[in-house]
Amino acid sequence: MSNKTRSDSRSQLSADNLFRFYSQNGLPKMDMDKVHPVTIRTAKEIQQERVSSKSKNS
Amino acid sequence: MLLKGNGVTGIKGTFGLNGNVFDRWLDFSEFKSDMNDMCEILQIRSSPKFQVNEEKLKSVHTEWRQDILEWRTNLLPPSSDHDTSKRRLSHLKKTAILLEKFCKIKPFFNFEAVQPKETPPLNPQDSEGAYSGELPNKVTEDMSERLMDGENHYLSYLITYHLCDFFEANRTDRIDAYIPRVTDEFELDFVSFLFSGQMNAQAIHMIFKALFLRD
Repeated sequence: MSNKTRSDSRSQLSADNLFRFYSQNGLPKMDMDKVHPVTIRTAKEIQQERVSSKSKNS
Repeated sequence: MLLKGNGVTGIKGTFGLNGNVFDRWLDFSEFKSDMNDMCEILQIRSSPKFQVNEEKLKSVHTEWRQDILEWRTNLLPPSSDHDTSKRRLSHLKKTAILLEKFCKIKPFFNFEAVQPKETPPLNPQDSEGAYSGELPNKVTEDMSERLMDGENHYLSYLITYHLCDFFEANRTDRIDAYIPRVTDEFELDFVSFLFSGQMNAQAIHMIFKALFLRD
């Protein structure tokens, strides 16, 4: 990271330059304590489910 | 964390996350425990057997934490009180840094092309509790091949994609409903990119940002 930072021309921009930094958007708003189930799926499975859902709705 | 105990023992293939996952992962033992759980889950779904390499995982964890601090210090605008602890990285940034470390400090998973142990049958009586889920199907043979070919890079992608997906699916500050837009082609191209040697956390972050963009 240090080497990358040195070669990053953003560091040469002034602190008030619009493109000097990334946006500081933090974590999204959500119920931070609620546990949600996550099932690891391949992109193919996710895509098939999405396409199937579209077919049902059309 | 696997959803086990509290009456949900036996539900395999599903793990539980909450919004505090990154805070919890500051502790290496928590991070390692979740990675082991994810390994267990993925072995249920596929043929390859893989184990976490603890030494490499420790390096991943150390560098991940260091780079989060570097990003907060150098790549985020100064906060009014100059307190870097109040500069927060989004889930996409933290995940992008993690994926970069997974791909650079490898192999954090040791692979073997052998059959995993038989999955214990799901006991319906165990399904009472916080979550009642179904045992996921095995992935197809070609997807098992993808796991073998992709090794650490593909596993890393799967883990980090689902981390982003979890936050995007459960956040309440977006107008549009969340519909995952990932495709089979994207997955191939993205994992190929991870192998390319051209990847870095900033590029990964922009890819994630575009993938999960919505109003």
